[in-house]
Amino acid sequence: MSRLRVGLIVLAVGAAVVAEGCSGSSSSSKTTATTTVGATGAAQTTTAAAQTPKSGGTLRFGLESDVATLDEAQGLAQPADKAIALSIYDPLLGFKPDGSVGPYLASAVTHSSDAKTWTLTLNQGITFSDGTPFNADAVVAHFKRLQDPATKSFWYTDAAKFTVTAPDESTVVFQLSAPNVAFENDIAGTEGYIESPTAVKAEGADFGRKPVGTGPFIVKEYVTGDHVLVTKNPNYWRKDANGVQLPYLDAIRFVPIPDTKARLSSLQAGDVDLIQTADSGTVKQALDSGLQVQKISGSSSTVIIFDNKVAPVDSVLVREALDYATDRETINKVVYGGVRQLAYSAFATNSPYYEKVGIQTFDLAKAKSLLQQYGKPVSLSLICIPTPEGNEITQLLQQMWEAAGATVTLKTEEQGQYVTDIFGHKPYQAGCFRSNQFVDPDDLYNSYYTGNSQNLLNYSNPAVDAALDKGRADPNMSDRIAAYRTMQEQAAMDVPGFPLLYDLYANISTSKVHGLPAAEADSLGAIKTVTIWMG
Amino acid sequence: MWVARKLVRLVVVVFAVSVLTFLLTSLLPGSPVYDILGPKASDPVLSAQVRHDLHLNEPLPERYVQWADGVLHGNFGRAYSSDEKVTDVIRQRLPVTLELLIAAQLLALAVAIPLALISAYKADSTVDRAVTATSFGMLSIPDFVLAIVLVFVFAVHLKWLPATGYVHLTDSITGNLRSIALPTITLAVPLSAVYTRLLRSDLISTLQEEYILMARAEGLPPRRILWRHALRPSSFSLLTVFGINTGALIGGTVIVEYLFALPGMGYRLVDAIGRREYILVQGLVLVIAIGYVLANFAVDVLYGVIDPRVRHG
Repeated sequence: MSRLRVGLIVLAVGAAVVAEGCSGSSSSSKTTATTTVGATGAAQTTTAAAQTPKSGGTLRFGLESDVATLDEAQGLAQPADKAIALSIYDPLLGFKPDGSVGPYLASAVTHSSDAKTWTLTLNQGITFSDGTPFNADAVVAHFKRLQDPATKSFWYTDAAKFTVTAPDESTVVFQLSAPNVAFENDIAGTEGYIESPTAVKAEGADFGRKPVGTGPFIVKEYVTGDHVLVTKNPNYWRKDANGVQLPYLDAIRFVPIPDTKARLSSLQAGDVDLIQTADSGTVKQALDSGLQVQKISGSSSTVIIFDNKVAPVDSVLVREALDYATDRETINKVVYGGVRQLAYSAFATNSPYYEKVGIQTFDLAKAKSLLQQYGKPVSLSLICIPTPEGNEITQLLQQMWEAAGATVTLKTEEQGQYVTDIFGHKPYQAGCFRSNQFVDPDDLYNSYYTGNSQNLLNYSNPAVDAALDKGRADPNMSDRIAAYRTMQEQAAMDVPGFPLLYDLYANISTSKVHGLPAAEADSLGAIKTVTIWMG
Repeated sequence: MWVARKLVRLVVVVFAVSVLTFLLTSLLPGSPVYDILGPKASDPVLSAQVRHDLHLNEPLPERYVQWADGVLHGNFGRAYSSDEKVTDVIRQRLPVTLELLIAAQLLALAVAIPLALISAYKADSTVDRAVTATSFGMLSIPDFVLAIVLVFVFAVHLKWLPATGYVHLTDSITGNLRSIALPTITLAVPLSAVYTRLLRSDLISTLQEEYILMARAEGLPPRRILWRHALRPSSFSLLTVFGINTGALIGGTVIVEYLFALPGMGYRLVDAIGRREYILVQGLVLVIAIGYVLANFAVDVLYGVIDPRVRHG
């Protein structure tokens, strides 16, 4: 789960999302997601594939915020940080477009039958861009760094769950304290981006601005708030299918353009070639003006959370009624111009674990009758952070829930206070939140498990706990799917909270930009730049 | 003596501002530990580490003394999330803000002074009414609207100027001027409107003074009367507001920096407040406060230049 990305509360424009970066329905740190590329993105990929990539040129890439740090140990929770990091580092394993995991820095991965011992075989002959050899010692040093409390790594709690050793130059062995069949997902994401141990020693606190990896590009200039210039790594270890040296581009100039409308204007004015956005209005405008748009969504969604221990939302009748009374279609139209996808599950719709259970489509009559069945007047407060987007959503929900017979008071709290209260387990009734992206359902463990400190819902169901435990330990895929089906069925009956709409990220570019890959599974829309070319 | 008194006052103000900033950032709701760690804050080892690094376990006065001691030795500390030195942030961003500020103020004066002179000299004429109407119009356009219109016309449509971004003076002089053109105009438009209005009304009363009538009677040309005799005694209000604006613009160009993606002080400050970057907020506010105080100090000195009687009053 990501570190708070507060961004621009004061100026909250478009992209600011309800309690952005925090997670309600998921709070584990393993950010990994399945990626769906929208129709436009798919069409564009097809066109690009028909042409032969050209080498050379500089790409100008407009980012949605200032870069905070390029130190992978800090999680790279911002799309801006992630976009640059994907040019500098390579992961141990790579996500394929379908969300499954394949070789990258490591050529093979195997695990013991109990899923507690994992062995990686590394590719040989790779060096970091500072000349340090990439080998098993570098990988061990990387994970030791994550495990050191002084690093205050974003991955600290995850990395504390295993020991890592290097029996030889090209083999790394992980000994997990508990079985985890999804471990390969973790090291395919940011947690598995390997940095040069020499550079870490040499740069100390400045490593976040002078990062060194094995990736296709090298940081040449880093001027905070202004630009980051990366240039081609001449010794990069990968070639394309035709034997052409990668990357294609000579350089990429990343520039932060915090205002979402200004970012689009800059693209239209020709100041930049490619921009990232999380603003639905911008996506709609770009589609309307014929620009190339790659739409990306995953499991991340805007969600409503309930404190399942506080009346009246301690009653499943009330929670279910509020879900039935919620017209997601209208929210999508009014707040997002209709470009988002309605969400009824914590999972991405293309996840192998996604179950079409508990879909409670808008039914006002049903909502009314459930509230009548409850028998007492229902009065509750709905709390959110004071962004325009948050206000619009909560006002719509207030109208919808009151139409069903509830009395709803809206409350706002500044993000800092809100997060402190929620994570400090201060009682509330209903709240807005944003859930995290994930691939493996084990990421939901902390959010739903009885008594877990990250269970913000105060949800408790022994059957769900049992299913979560089974899903975590069982190495058999079909058994896992069954366990998580049980979990989803139970949760659908209990409605501890519910999602509204899947979040939407997009990369928008001019027609000169080709070869955009599918977005990284754990990336909030960020993409690897190694295959991009200009023509 | 007079300057010495002012300087003592300057030190007192800066000290008071630094204490207040320190208190305010500490009184913000919520704990910075949650902002930095998110849900990981429930991990006792990590949150203890952050509390230790930020000295949150120490009493407030002690933290202030540590910080102030560092500042006096040129060590402003590091921003927590990015690990940048606060002095580096200031070194990189202050020049951008200062350039924008100076360009906008100069442009505003260059427009305002001639307009005010013409409209005061021909008070109630068609020219004067046109100037007045235009300046009210310019005052009533919010800067974010003006910025968007300028970008649409000059960047997106005509493609004459870049929509966003900053080119450093050392990289290219024309590139630099092109990159600050639209933001400078956005800032200068409302400023010039205010300056025109102020200077016009002061000029009108000056022009009714007896010595002006005398000058006219002597047959001095209007241009000479206006520039040599009327402008200087009429510029007190203008100078005061000019000084206040100079201070305000050091941290107050947030919206323009945001819309044009300029790496200045204001945007970084707002961002730092959102991220609870205490140390960074304190450092930036201190610089802004010093800038404010210095600008007003300069204005006080200039009063004395315009009218030497001030120094004895």
